[in-house]
Amino acid sequence: MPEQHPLDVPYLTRRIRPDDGLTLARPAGAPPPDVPPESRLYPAPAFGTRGLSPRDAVVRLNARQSAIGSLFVTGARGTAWEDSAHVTGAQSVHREQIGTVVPTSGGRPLVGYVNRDVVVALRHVRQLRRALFIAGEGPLTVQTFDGAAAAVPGSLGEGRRTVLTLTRIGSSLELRAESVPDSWDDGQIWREFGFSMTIGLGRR
Amino acid sequence: MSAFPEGGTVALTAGDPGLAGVMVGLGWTVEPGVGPLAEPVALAIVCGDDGRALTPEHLVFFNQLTTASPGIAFSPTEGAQRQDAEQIDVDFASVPSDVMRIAFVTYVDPEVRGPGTFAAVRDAYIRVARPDGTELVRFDAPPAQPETAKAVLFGELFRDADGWAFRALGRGYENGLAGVGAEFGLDV
Repeated sequence: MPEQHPLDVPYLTRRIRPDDGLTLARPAGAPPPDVPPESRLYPAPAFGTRGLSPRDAVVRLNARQSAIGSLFVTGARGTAWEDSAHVTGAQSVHREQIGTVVPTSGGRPLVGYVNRDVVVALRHVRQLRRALFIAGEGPLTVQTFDGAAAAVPGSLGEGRRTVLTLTRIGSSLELRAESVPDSWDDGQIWREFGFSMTIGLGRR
Repeated sequence: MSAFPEGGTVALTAGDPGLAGVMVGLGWTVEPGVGPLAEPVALAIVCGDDGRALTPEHLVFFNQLTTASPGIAFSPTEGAQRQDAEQIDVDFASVPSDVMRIAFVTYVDPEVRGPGTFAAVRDAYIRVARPDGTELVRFDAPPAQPETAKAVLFGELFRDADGWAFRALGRGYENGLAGVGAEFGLDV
């Protein structure tokens, strides 16, 4: 198990209502708004056939793309996930695993590898809070049931490695390309993104 | 309450002018098995007079509870004790005049690990009830070829004179949600 990092605090989790995924910040003490979180989002490019770059690092899936079939991510050496109850886990392309698998009622893990692709079971997207996909040596590509796709180079600069984050905001999923030092191992990447693995919740 | 044959129609508001809206319930059971299970998903498509969706976004399902056209809303069932697997509410007075038909489809989620057909889906039905839950009509809708059907058009509400009626359909789609999307003009 990786050593606990002083920055490894669930800094995002305390503002989150269980059903909303990532909720936008609001003044302390303010009541939850009546409007859904999607209506308060800044505009972002739609998810189609496109490339991501440091200048165009974000795409947002619509409600249908976010909930039908499988989200495929190709080219990831590892993935990490967090569900709406803040249960976390991670898996590598070689099936090394830490944390807790999130089961779904259909008998599939919410996030996990199928062959060499990471697959998110979108029928249960409401269980997902966020996920990370860590690039291997080549580009990362993402595809949904309707054929929409996005790609990002595995490195966005000298000595850098791309990490793709997937965040649920209400009924929408948002993909964001981030860049970290190439020398970081997966454990350090999880910590920098605020993940601490949930140990001991697996089925016995 | 009455059961209906495929293709049968029933006038809803003609016989009950005070009927302000209906709850459409869809349900099924899935045979347990080894490995991933089939996961049926219900959706309603909001159509114009050409029988196609008003826009590619005019559908409601568990991740899109409403559309730009008011009066049609998916009712989340998570955590609720309900008779149906999924429920969709229709408020006739609120439905815009350009909505001529509301089609009710169930598809098996096309997840890569499968199975993606109705082979293990039993006792599929659609029923129409008053807002208080009183059942008006029920149609048992097993597809003719469950081993190959990936989506089924269970039935539809349609405008009938000045009111609304229901038609039972039970039409299977071997090409699944993609076929439904192509026929109705959806972006799925």
